[in-house]
Amino acid sequence: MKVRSLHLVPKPNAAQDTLALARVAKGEVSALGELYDRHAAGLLRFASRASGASDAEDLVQATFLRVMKIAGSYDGRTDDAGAWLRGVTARLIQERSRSILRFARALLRFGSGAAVAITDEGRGTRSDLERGLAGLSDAKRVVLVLAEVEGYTCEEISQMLEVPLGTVWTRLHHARKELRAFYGEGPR
Amino acid sequence: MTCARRWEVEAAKDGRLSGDAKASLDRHVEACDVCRNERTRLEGLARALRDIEVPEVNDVGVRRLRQRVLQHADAQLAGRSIPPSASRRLRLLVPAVALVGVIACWFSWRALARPPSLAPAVAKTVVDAKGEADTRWTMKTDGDIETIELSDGVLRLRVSRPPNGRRVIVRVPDGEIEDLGTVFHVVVRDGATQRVGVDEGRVAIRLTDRAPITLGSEQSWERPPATPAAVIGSTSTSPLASSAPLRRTPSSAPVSPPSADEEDTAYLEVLRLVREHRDTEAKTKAREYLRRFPDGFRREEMGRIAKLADPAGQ
Repeated sequence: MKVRSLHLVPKPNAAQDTLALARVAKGEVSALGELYDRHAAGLLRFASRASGASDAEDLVQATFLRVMKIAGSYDGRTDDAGAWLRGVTARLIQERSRSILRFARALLRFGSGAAVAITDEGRGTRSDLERGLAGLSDAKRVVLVLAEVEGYTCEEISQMLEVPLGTVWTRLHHARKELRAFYGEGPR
Repeated sequence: MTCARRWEVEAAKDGRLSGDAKASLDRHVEACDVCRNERTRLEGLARALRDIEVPEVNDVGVRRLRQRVLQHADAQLAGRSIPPSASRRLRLLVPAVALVGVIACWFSWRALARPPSLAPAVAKTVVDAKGEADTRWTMKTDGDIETIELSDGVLRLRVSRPPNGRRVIVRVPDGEIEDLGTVFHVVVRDGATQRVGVDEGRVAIRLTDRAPITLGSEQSWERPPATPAAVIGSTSTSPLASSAPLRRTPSSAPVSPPSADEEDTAYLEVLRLVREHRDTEAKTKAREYLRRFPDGFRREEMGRIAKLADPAGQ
């Protein structure tokens, strides 16, 4: 609960971030560098949890390149560019997931063995909880990480991901349910 | 044992209950074991998720990624063709992997009875080595290393090495020279390396009687003659320069070998000055970086900072 309350007050760099995003929208690459310096480490940690460490750098790079294109759409609603950037990363994770899903379906047409090899990749090296987390859909995992690890409220997540609040609640509920089912009742 | 209000615990956590409903639940939880357990489990799950370890964010990695991001952003703005971004790479990767998958399925279907190959997949490194008439050399592949034994003479090499390709090492009587993706030549006489010249890329020189050095594009190293006075153009007092004279052609000015640590330090110094808004000093340091590390990893960023600090670009 304490973590959540942090997001109710404006971030110390909120004004600088808003100005930097305005400059990025005008094509100033140095402003993108400023944003990077303030948010890259946090984004890398978020991307590692939400998508796996091997993809984190690519995702963060793609996030900032996407920001170059859409910086003009930042309206400061959340008063927290970090949240907005996480929203961009989260959408990239889901876009990528859809591409991979299409690919997996194509592979399934050639036989189920290959698809199973993909979904089982890396198992046996992580804890049950990590495996359970990796087994969630990207949409559910992203919401769960934003809520439970990053400490955002459901309303903030709804704004970040541009999905209805009810959808956030539903995804969060199902994510917890699947995780608890994955390894029994879960940690106490 | 269950409780009809158990669902409310999660609802309250997610902000779906407020005011009286939440206060009522709080009073209920104090008296209800089921709901108290539910709250404990939800909190435990959240704590366990926060405790999952993620790889530590590494400062150097973050800086390198910054360079990459800004390079791509520059290219994106200029509308230039850029190296594939992550999403683009994924789009390219999907059909490529699909094709590989189909081929792999086909082969595994055909060769079910055969034992699987244990050889690791190593991308192909192309080595074009040309020796002079009297040069004595051999080349062999040893695991993931292409080893060239050069015992005497002049050998010119052109190496095309993909990121996961075989390493290329030239073994000379007094050490070894490792290619880092480049065009270079090596001269060995009287059982010792006399000269290494790099036309493109970088090589690492590790000789038994001197400190390891790295040569960049258009740099060369020559074994100093017996008398120090014969080292033409070497006026530097740095230990590396005095033990291993480096020359950048066509200029005869001595150049310190690019060391990753020195380069990082110089880069961080410029960043610090920029952050402190000491633009003039940042410009000077950025130019110094460009002079010292003309092939430096952050040369584009340093060039940009040098120009940013001075609107006239002087």
